[in-house]
Amino acid sequence: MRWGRAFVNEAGAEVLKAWRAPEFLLPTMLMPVAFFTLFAVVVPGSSDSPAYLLATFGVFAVMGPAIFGFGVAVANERERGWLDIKRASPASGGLYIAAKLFATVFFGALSLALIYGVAAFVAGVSLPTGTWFAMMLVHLAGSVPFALIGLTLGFLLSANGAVAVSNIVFLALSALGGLWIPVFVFPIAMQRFATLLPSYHLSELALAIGVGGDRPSGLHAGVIAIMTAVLAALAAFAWKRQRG
Amino acid sequence: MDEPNVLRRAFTIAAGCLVALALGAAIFLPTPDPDKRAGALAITNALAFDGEFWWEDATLLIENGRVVALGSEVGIPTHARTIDVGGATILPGLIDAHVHSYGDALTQQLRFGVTTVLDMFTAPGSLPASRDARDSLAPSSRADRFSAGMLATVAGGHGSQFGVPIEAIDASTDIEKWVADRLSEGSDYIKLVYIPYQRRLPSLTLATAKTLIDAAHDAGVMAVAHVSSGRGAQDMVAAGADGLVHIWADKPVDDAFIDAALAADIFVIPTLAVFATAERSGEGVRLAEDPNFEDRLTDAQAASLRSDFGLRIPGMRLQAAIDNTRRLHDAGIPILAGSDAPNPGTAHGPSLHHELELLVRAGLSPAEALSAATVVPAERFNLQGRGELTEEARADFIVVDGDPREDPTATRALRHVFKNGADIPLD
Repeated sequence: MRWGRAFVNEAGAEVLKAWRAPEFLLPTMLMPVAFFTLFAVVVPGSSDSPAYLLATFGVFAVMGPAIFGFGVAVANERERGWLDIKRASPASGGLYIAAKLFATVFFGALSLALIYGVAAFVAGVSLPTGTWFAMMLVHLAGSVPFALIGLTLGFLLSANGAVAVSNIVFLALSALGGLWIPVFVFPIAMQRFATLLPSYHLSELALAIGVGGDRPSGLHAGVIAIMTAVLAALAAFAWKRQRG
Repeated sequence: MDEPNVLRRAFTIAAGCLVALALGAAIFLPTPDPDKRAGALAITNALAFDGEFWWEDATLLIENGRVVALGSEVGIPTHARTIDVGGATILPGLIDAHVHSYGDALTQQLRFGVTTVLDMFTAPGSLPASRDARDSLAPSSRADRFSAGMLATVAGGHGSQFGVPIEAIDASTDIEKWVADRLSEGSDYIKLVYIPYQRRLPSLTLATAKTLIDAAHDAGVMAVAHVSSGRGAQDMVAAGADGLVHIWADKPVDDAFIDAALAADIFVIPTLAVFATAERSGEGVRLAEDPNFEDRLTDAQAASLRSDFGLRIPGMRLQAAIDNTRRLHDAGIPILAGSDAPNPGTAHGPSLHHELELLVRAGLSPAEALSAATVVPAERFNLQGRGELTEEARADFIVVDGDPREDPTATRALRHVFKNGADIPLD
């Protein structure tokens, strides 16, 4: 009960904090939907596969808020001494991270709502209700590993360094994971590299749901689960070893 | 103690938003119209071609994207919707056996009744996606595609002029590996360019072409050849090619060729539409002005139909190409309809209808021309469930006004295009 209330307060604080400073989150939420609209609606010839683009851009949509909004931002909080207070308090690091994840999922959902709205009502995607929800669930769950990546970077790097490094990570996960253009147009070596990225497996899983084809969804789901567990351990480790 | 309440409220509102979004998604997100997809549909009061027989006063019954039955005595289940087409003609979705597809090609093909294309060279990156798409019976706004992917040619040879990257073949190329690489990219068959006996462009040698054909056969796929001369065609038949993807006009087809072609059981895709352009016949412009097409063409299609090569290409006389096609057809060599769109003077979609008319000028009956654009390519390229409307075939078909057994241009008066059992909007 005590843990539940502490989580509600912590998570509420995270949501409120982001809500009160929209200039930080809003751009990361608007960019994916702008990109999606460009490729799925505006550019001629690409509009034949809006469901395909929704599957991959949905992953892109949760990645920005996850990595930048709630991951890397902890470097700032740490440099200002807030994390020292947190670590001295009785609340655990796990609680702090769980609250961050809740806020990530919430703002990821808002970001997804925009892109799903454009897909459904402008780009003309129509899917069975179960398919919509399965894809949404994959996209929402996808924000967790990305937030863990951001948190790890935020714990270990200086505020300036975290922004620079996370930008590279963000772009690499997007481009090399096949979120903008399909992985199969890459050379073989790059296709192999993509299999190391959670963004690739998430988009393949979303594609298996929304588009179908010869995609081993169980394999992708398993890889994502393992990657998420490893990233969670890494984030917990980084919380303990964070930069002073 | 006001602060924790604010935090709790923030959490509650956020959680409530998530629930509201989920509810909103369940209610408002569009789902496919079940009538368009899975529902049983009967097309009644039609003249129908099933790939083999013509049925008078026929009913076509489809369900779940496949044909249930076609015939004159088909029972209509009570749950089926019915469309009475008032004596119009049902044909299997058309197959264009020679295209180069990129951009919106597959969308345009489908808008004009072509439900499957055989691509004869395109950038291989898009092949896996089109394999996924053609295996599916989900609603689609695009024609299905089978493709050669990258073509086999030499550095600077025909095919290298389009800026699409090609692994050119030379004496040091490991041909078996080259073929294996194409298959792993998703190629369905191998296309090679064999144009010796001229000095303008370099060509594969006969020995290399034969090695390619053998390697394709060893790997279990077909090999088709681009030829531009009678001697080149003769060489390719001798080398074991499965088909030739152009007719030639440099000299008349002779008996020796016909004997060899019959013995080897090859087919020919004449692509007469391109010969019409090469001769600056103006037929592309006439097609663009066809009242059935004029208002439906995209700007790009209209521009493509109105363009030509900028000169009359020597050695590509339309009448000679038609005469050669006629000799092959008279001798019983299978002819497949292919437009070679989007070459100058052609466009994805309309030009297959043009090719049907050209094949009739080459001596095919209008019904034989329809077979050349449906059941014959399906048989030759082993396209299961396509080019015919028999039980369990894909529900890919078109409904046209008039009787295309009498008038080869009747296919242009499209009333419906159905893909995977769904009625495609034609505007």
